[in-house]
Amino acid sequence: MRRCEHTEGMSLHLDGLLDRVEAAKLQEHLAECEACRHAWEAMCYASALLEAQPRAIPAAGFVERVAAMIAEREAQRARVRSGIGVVLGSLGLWALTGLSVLAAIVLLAQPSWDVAVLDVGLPLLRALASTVETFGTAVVSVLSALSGRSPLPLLGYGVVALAAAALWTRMVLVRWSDGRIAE
Amino acid sequence: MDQERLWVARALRGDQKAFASLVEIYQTPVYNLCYRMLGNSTEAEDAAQETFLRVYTHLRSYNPERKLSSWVLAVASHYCVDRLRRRRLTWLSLDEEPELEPVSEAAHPEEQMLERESSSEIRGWLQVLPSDHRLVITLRYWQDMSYSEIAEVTGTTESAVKSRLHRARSVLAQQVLEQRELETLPGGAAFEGRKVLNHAAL
Repeated sequence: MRRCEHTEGMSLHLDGLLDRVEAAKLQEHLAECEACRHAWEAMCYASALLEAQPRAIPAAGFVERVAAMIAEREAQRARVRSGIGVVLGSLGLWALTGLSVLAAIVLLAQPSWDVAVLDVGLPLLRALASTVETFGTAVVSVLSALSGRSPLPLLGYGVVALAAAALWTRMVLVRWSDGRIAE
Repeated sequence: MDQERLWVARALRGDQKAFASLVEIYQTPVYNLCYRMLGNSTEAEDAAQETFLRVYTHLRSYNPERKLSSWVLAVASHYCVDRLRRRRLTWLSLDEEPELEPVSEAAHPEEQMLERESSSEIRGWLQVLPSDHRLVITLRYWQDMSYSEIAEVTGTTESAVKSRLHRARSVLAQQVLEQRELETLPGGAAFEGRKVLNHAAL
C-alpha cells in the first residue's frame, strides 16, 4: 500500500494553518509526487464543494412549532406536579390517620398506659369542650347584642358564609374546567 | 451578546417569548447541523425541535461564561450522535429536499439544478462518514468554526479535531477520486491518489 505522510499537512493547509516553510515543503512534495497531487486536488475539490453548499433552513413556522411544543410540555409538567401533590397529600393524610389509629390502639392496649391516657386525655377533652363552649357563648352574645331580638344579623351571617362557600366552589370548578380545556 | 444574556435570564424566569427569541436566532444553525448529520429533513426538524426543548429544560445548567452558540450546538450534536447510534438498521430516505438558503437571487435554473445535484452528492458523501467525522465537517464548513470552537462543541481536544478533519477529508477526497475513476479509465493517477488517501483515512 502506498504510504505518504503529507495528507495531514494538506488538511491543515486547506484551513490556512501551515506556516510558510511547511506550506513550501508541501508544495515541493506535490510537485514531485503525482499520487499526492491527485489526492490534494481531490481534497480541494471536495472542500470547495462543501464550502459552496448553502445552509439548510427549517420550514416556515419553526419558532411557533417549538413554542407550542414547550407550552404543551409545561402544561403536562404542571398537570403531573399537581397530580403528584394530590396523591402525596392524600397519602399523607391517610398515613397520618392510620398512624394515629395505630398509636391509639397501641396506647390503649397497654394496661399501664390506658390509665395514664385517661388521666391526661380526659382533662384535655374537658378543657377543649370548655373552650368551644366559651367561644360559642361569646359569638352568640355578640350576635344577640348586635341584633337585639331581631334574627337579621344571624341571617346575614348565614348568607355571607354561604356566599363565601359558593365563591370557593366556583373558583375550584373554574380551575378544574381550565385544566380540562388546556388538555 | 448582552441581548442574548438578557433573553437567557428572562427565559430562566419562565418568559417563553424571550426563549422564542433565542430559537429565532439559532433555528438555522441548529436545523442545518441536524440536517447535515441526519441527512433527512423530517428527522432534522424533529431533532432541531428536540434540541430546543432540551435547551429550554436544561437552561439552568448553562454556564454564562461559555458562548451560548457553542452550548446550543453541543446539545444538538449530542442529540444527533445519539440518534444515529439508535438508528441502526432503519433505512431512511435521502431523497427529501429541505429548503436551502439561496446562493444568489439571480441564479439561473441550470445553476439551481447543478446546485441541487451537488447538494445531493454532498449528502451521499456525508452519510458515508462516521458520525464524529461528519460532525467536525459540519461544524467546520457550515458553522465556520475554528478548531478550538469545534473542540468545545464536541468535547474533545484540538488535536483530535485536527485528526478527525484530516480523516474525514481523506474519505471525501477518496470518493471524488473513485468517481473520477469511474468517469475515466481505472488504474490511472487517480487510482494512485486514492491509495494515498486510503492509507490516510485509516
